[in-house]
Amino acid sequence: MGELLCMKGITKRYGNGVLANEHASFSLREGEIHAIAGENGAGKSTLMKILCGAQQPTEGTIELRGKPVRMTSPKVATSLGIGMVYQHFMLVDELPVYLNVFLGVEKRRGLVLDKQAMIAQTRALCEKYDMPVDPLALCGDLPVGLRQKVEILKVLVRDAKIIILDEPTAVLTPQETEQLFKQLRILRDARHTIVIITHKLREMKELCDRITIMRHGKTMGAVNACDVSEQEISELMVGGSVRLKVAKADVTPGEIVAEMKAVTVPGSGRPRLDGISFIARAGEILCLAGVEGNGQQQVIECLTGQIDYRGSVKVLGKEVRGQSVRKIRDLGMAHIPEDRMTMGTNQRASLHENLISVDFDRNTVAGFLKSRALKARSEKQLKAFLVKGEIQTPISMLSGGNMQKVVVARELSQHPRLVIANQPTRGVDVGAIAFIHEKLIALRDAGCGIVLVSADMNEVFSLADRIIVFHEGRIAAEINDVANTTEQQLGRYMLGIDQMKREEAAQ
Amino acid sequence: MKSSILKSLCTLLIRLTLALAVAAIVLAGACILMEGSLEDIMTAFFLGPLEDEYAIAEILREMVPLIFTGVAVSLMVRCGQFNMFVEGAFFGGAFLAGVLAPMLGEHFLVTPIISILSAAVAMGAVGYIPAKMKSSLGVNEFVSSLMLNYIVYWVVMYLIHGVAADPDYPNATLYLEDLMRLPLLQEDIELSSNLIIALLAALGCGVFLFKTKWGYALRMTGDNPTFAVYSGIKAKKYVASSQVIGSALAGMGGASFLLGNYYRFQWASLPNYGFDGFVIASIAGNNPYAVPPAALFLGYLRVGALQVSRLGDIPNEVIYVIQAIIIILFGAQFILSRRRKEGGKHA
Amino acid sequence: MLEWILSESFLTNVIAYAIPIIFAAYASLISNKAGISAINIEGAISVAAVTGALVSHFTGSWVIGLICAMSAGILMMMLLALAALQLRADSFLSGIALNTLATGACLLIVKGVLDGRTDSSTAPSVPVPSLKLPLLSDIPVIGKAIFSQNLLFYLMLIALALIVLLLNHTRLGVQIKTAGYHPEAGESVGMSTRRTRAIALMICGMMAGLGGAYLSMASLGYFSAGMVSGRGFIGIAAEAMGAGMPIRTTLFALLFGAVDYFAVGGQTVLSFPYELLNTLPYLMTLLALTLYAAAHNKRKRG
Repeated sequence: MGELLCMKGITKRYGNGVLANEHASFSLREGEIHAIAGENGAGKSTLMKILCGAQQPTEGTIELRGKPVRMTSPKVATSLGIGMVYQHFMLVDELPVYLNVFLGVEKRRGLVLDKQAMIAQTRALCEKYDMPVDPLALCGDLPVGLRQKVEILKVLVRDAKIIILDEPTAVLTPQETEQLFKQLRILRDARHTIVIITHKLREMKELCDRITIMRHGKTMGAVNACDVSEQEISELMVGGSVRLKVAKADVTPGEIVAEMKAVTVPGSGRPRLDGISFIARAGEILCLAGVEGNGQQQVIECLTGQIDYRGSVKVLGKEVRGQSVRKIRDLGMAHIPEDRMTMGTNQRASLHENLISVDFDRNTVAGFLKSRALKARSEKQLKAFLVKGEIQTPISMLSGGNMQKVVVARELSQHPRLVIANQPTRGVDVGAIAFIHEKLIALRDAGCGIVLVSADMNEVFSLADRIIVFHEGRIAAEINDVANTTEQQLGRYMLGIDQMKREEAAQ
Repeated sequence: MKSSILKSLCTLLIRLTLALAVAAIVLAGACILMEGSLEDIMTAFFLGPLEDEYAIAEILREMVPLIFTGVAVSLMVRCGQFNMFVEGAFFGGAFLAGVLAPMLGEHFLVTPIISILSAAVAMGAVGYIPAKMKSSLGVNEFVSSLMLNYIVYWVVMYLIHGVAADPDYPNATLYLEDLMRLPLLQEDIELSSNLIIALLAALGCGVFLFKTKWGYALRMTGDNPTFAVYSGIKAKKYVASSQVIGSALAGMGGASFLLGNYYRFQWASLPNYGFDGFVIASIAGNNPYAVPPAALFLGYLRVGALQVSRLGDIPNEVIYVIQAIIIILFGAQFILSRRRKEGGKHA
Repeated sequence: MLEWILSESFLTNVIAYAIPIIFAAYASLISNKAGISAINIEGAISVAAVTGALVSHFTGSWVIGLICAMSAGILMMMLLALAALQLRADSFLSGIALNTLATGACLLIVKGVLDGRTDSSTAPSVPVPSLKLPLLSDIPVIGKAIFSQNLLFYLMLIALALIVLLLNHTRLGVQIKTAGYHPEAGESVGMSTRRTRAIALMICGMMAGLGGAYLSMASLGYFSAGMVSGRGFIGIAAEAMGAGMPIRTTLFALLFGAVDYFAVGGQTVLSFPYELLNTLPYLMTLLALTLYAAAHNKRKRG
């Protein structure tokens, strides 16, 4: 296997001075599956965006088959046989599959689109690579796994020889992941070269031939997957500091802090929630697990008073229906939302303004904000939660981790009795993850109830006292003995392959 | 805190310089097209407005409607609302004051103030229509408020051609006696006290927006409604009330302008002050405190354009061109500075 | 009144009044599909109207007038493209600014070109002719309403067909929809969202130009300041209710045209103050927007 592609001395500095890559280098051999490994923010995605022309390096060169090339646009990269499958799918939901596959390279007869040819070719590709996708379906109607396949088709139809996948398994169940790996091996056997961006150790060992490890924007070197242990990769990724298993005291559940009884939320087609009942108690961390889009989101929306529902939802003893968000919050509920950019923060405001949003109106005199007292409080909170920034700093200047700490600081400073934490550590650096986990556990030990939604298996297993698994709007399993449950078993529940019987769950 | 005031003053200064440059370039262009004398035109434009106290009083008079509509627009844009009813409310407010003041009779200060407040309340009430349509049904406030402008216009036309008209003076309301009007600050240059009301309105709105809980909630709603709702702020309430307050301010502006600078209501077409409000708000960066200086500046430009038109070569309408370019440039600058910040997200 | 509404000329006039609104709605449809709102359609129509009138007047040719009206519409939209796409100003604010610019420009043009020769705010034009289709125009009622209309009416039908074809069967259509629904997806495969939007704005400007030409060169024999009086905005409203679907948009625009004509035509037929009749199209738009939104919300919930 000869060297197919080589990136040398790549440096990328964004307009605001942030250094995403610093003298990073990368080399790829023909017909291999190559992992780019690293923590969040290590610069993996940027390096690959540079490779596929989506971004321009500040410095550095790229050589393809020994010849220097300049990836000035995605089009150039495509013409050189490089294609990227983005983590956030680049599909137009309102267009059918075949038009998405041919997006930008539509076939025409004269001035008019040659729809038949495109449909036929899409169908042929689907058969060749064994992908069960209907070319005429609207992309928006497809489940995540199939949408990813459309993305792969999109790359294949352009004759890509090098296929880059950005965190392809982030949104997949273990079983769908297996499927994807099988697919990728088929592609490798068909002489494609594959790069996957990931931070999951097992995937690297299981699927890849070689691994390039990145840390703080630099490449730490490439290794053969069979030559290193998971432990060694991990040390290269985080720089020696090994992640600690979170220490937790035994659970002592108290009163009921949240309760759902036969809750149904209608959707287009099948209901989003279908007769859900469960309770969450003070002093425990209840984790709602499941593949995204199976109802966890709706549970959160019910508990926080954002949507209408049938049945009964009680938070801290009060029925949620008809109550404003403010009233529910006043009962003692705190909510760390999934999306910190649009929901958790106001990107156009300062840290201070972001910190007072949930209780500013309780600190007023005749309608005027008690500015001085509130500012002093904000300053204290920033210190207590180790946020790097002043109270007047615009929050948009902060890194993802610091931003999330602002959200957590605001929510957890309200002396909550129930914390709803939706993906509280997604896209956050290792230090901040540990910090947020510690804070959540401290609250739990102090007798606060915590409802956690997480797609990160690591997080689920290290935090949860109890797990409820959602599948297609129903409860597939309720796991009380978390310590003796395997990831595989959890995956089977998530996919709906296994289902725990009701009485079993009740125990 | 002091540094942030200083910083916003600096930004304002930069913006104003830029706007002056735009005006000069447009005028120079017009001058070449119309073959006027560049020197005369530039002198008239830049120095004309300052040549005597009458010209300066003219600038101060121009400021009044600009401050009111500028503050009204700022408040609504801060809440994310692009409501055009400022135009109709200004017109309607002026008309109402023209009708009400003669009915109330000659009472020093009492008559004009009650008329102005009534106009504000009435226009706020009419402004509730697009506001409620937006907050409850999600109807785009831009189109609905524009339609409302035309409706208000034609209703006023109907009234002024009929019941509201002075029998001896067609298509106008009754004559406003001195005591029905706002008192003058300076008799000889006819400077009305409505300027003081305008300045107070700007100051009040600034305090409201930056110091009170309602102002805070309104800003958060405008910046990011999802965040506001999530935090427990009743976003719909602020979406609606910002438009009502804005309409009321514009109505108040129309009334104050009429009772300060006119003797009857006899406008035959919409005065376009509502759209000017957007120019002012965009120069002021939607900051009520910055609205009066912005209005002073635009007033200066306008009197300059008027002076130029008196030379005969370049018509007064050239000011529209200048204004349009100013809005676009400021809009561009505004977006650019925000984009730079967003760059950090990729890291 | 009923007699008037059922008369042959009523339908003919309704269509005649709807044409500028329909063109405005098409303009709005194309730009919205591409993900950019062009609220300066109103201003573009008025600049096109004055350009068409003056050019046709001075050249004596309605063809040249029509072409120049379209070019003027395109020019106004290119200014929006410059502001919103190139300078990245807010498209909404830029739209407001360009409407202001248009108001000024129209007065300037009329003043500058005619230089006091006529009434200062109106400009004469050479009208676009009507076209009577043989045989078909003899059919009662619809014969006159549909088959002996102004040439621009037929252009409107062609525009409708072309828009449907464009959106559903061409590469540009795919690009426009991508730019509107998911621009990043287009960028990732090398489409230029900016370029697509600029092209869409050109088409949008062309439509606005035709609408303007109709007002000053077919509907009336002259341009007068303020003659657009919100028809561009009403077109935008019609498009909003048509939910981006060409035929539905046309029907809503037709409805608004009917009310518009009712208000104008009613002044001679009905004993009702004309000022209040004039509020009808706007009241109707408000009402329709409200009902549409209410129905839309209900459907979403149900």
